[in-house]
Amino acid sequence: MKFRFLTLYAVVFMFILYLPVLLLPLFSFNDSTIVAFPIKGFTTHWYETLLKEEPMLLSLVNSLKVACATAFFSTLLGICGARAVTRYNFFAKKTITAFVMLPLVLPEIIIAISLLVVLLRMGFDLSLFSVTLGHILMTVPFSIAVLISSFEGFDKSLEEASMDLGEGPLMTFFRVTLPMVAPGIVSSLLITFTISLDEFIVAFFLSGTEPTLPIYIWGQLRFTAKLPTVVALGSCLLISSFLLLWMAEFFRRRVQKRTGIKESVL
Amino acid sequence: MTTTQFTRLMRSEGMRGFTLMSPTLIYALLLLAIPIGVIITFSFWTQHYLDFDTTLTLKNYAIIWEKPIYQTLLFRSLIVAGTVTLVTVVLAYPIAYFVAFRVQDHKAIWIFLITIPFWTSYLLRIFAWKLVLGYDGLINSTLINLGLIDEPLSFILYNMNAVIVTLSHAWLPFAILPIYVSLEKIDRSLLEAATDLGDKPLMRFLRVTLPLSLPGVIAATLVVFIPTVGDYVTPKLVGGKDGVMIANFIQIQFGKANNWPLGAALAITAMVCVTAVAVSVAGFIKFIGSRIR
Amino acid sequence: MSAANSSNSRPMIRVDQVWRRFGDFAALDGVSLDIKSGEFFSLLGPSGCGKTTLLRLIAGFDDPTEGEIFIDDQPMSGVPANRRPTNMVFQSYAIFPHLTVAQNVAYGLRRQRLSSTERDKRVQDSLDQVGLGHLGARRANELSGGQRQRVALARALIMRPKVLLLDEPLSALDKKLREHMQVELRQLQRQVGITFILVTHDQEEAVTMSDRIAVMFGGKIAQCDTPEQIYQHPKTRNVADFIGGMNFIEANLLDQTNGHVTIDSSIFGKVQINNPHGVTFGSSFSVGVRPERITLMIDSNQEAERVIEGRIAGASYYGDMTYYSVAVPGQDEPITVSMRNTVGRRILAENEPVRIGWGPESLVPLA
Repeated sequence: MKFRFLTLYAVVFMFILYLPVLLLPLFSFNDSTIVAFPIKGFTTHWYETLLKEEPMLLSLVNSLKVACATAFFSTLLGICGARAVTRYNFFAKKTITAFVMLPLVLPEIIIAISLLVVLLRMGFDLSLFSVTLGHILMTVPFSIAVLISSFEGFDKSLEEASMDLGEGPLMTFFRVTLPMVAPGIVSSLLITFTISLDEFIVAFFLSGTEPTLPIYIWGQLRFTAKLPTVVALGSCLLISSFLLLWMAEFFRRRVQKRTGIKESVL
Repeated sequence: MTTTQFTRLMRSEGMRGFTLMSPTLIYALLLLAIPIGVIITFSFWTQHYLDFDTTLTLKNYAIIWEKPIYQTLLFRSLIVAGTVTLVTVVLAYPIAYFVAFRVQDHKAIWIFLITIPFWTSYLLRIFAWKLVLGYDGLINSTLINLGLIDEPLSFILYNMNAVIVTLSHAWLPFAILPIYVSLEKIDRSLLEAATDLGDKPLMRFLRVTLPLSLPGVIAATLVVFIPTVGDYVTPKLVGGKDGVMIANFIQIQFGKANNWPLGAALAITAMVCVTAVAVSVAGFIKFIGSRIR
Repeated sequence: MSAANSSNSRPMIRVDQVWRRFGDFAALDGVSLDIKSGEFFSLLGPSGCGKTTLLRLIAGFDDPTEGEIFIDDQPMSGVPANRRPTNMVFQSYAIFPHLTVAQNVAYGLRRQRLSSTERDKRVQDSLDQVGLGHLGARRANELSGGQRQRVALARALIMRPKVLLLDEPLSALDKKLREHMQVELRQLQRQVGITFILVTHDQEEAVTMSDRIAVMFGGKIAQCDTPEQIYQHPKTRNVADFIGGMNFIEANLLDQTNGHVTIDSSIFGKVQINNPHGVTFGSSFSVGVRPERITLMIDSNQEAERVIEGRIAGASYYGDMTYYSVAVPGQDEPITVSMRNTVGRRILAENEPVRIGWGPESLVPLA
């Protein structure tokens, strides 16, 4: 009785969770200039116009640049942080960790405006570089969270065995630790890449004259005539996000299989 | 300090951990702590066109205190975020419970499917709600097709309720995670012990499962409440005039109005209020938990 | 030997042809068992033998696929765990981490609607009983392993169950504490006088604490008897091997009458031995002999009823005892013999010739 109620709830929940997002692909194939019900007919026209949108392609390139740089640097910082947290005890560990993880709960607008003020006061011009700085700050906590879960299951005695067999700390890291947690690192790269690709607020404040993809979309949302194309673009983004995340999950599971933890989340 | 002492210190576990942590820590200090410090300083300055008057003053805070519009906005933002948090946690708990206790195999896949929407473009997810709630949206066209209404309902988009619905939907997947983790951590033999000592399922839930999952509930409350107070996109896209929140006004100060110090003061005020509310709510939940025998 | 026999022999628990299947696998394979009121009863066996499954069926955390369990003559099918007159001490102790020691102990009293003074008194009495009277206000996570175990005991006993179920309660404790708790548990059981059912894989624990033991293998009860009977007269080779050390010697059947079998074996020759369980044997089977039931005759003037010649193949020194492997002609595996290290006794060297003295009463036929 109780079991069936909860199952029913879960099914309805999943349906409603996905419903709005699934409307995007639906409308992207709708043969009508207005993004609204009723559905008129099938067309791939909007995807065709999308490919001809020069500014869209430019903003896509911008976004990819930012996302790649963000993924690389935040994962690098994430590795240091996650390794320090899982392997060592040090002074004020809890406070420091909490501080580094703070962007996870801070409203994005606070991060955005504080960075904006500092960068402009220091005489920097707003550019993709400033967006990247902000994105790294925001994604490091996610990277740490993902990497902690792969470092945690890692048996310390494996490293000790390597040291015992004559390797130094650095080579031990490269020969034992890194191969073991490599899938976790790939997973962190993919997740931080995805977050950066989709991030809006920080980019909105910090991008200056070089729009990222979400900024481009934001600009297009005002024009009703452009909406079908935006919806087509959104569908592409959704699919690629889904694929990236699926890959991230795949790699995260690999590392857990290797280190022998059972299923875990974050 | 001698060289050996220094080497020994540098080689100590604590120092090695600290060294390893330092790049991440320095980055966060440079790009988070210092900027926030600057923003706080800014909030005590004033601006005349493009020049800043760096004399420290409480003028900005006085404006926020005196003009009802800011209090209304702040209050509305807190109410919206509070409602969103409540709705989110209440709706998320059963799903987290379902996955933790009822799902036997493939729990990770369930959690994965639940959380993906959270990682996909925020902007697009909010926009998608316009397609659901809009004049020609999913709800209106469905209701008309069912013959329940003749005219599309106009009150479902561009107001505070639309903001609450949209934000709750957006944050649900994220709220599930901490609750799920805390439920999953509960030793199953504790539940058997409760049954063994005479509790029926409902009492067992209230006396053991719920109190032990409160840390997860508190974490979910915080990760939803704090960011939503400062949300910008949702009120802008689906909020209309009545749904404007504090972040929209902060943005205006940094944009059109060009009054950065006032914007900074608004941001600081909002943060202080959010922290105060969040801490007291978390404390309250903990207190309730400790009353359960 | 047992307090149970003198008081009451009515079964408190009756397990009647119980099966528990998980898919194709039968965790319990038609188990029947009577446990008397006031008895300290142990379920003993290797992991995966079904002992914990049986305990959980009695507690009501799981239902039999077939068969019925009676507690105090009441059939238990359909009775949920919270309504059964049993309480459990869990292997992990399952101490509620969000409650204090006193709140843990008082947990089950909620339904009895006692006044707060009476409740507090019962909690205090119960804590005193397990020697934790001073720790009521402690948090569960501030307790040592031994203290947690006592809290779990107090929490279960305060419910005044008819049967207390203990699931490997001592396995998490270190050796010294475990031995101490064995004695204490046994005293506690005498004191409260209710039925205790202990699940353990530790044969020594079962032997020292129990009135009766059921030894289980592969979902079946191999033998259910007093510790002494199980040690001295194991029914099967499995049981003999699981409890204490045992030498196994292959033997051929010559004749079997009521209560006796006559065997022929390479080292013992033709001999008639007791068959206490009245088992019918096939043409060849194993005969067991405990290391301490045969003697190593080191002085040439020592005499015994029957003697085997052999050579020392190895020695393991255990402090109070030395276990010698003695190679014997006609037997592939050396025979293990134990010898007490009394004053002035030297450790025999390898290859030293020795004689083993034995009698037919030391031999046990094993199914």
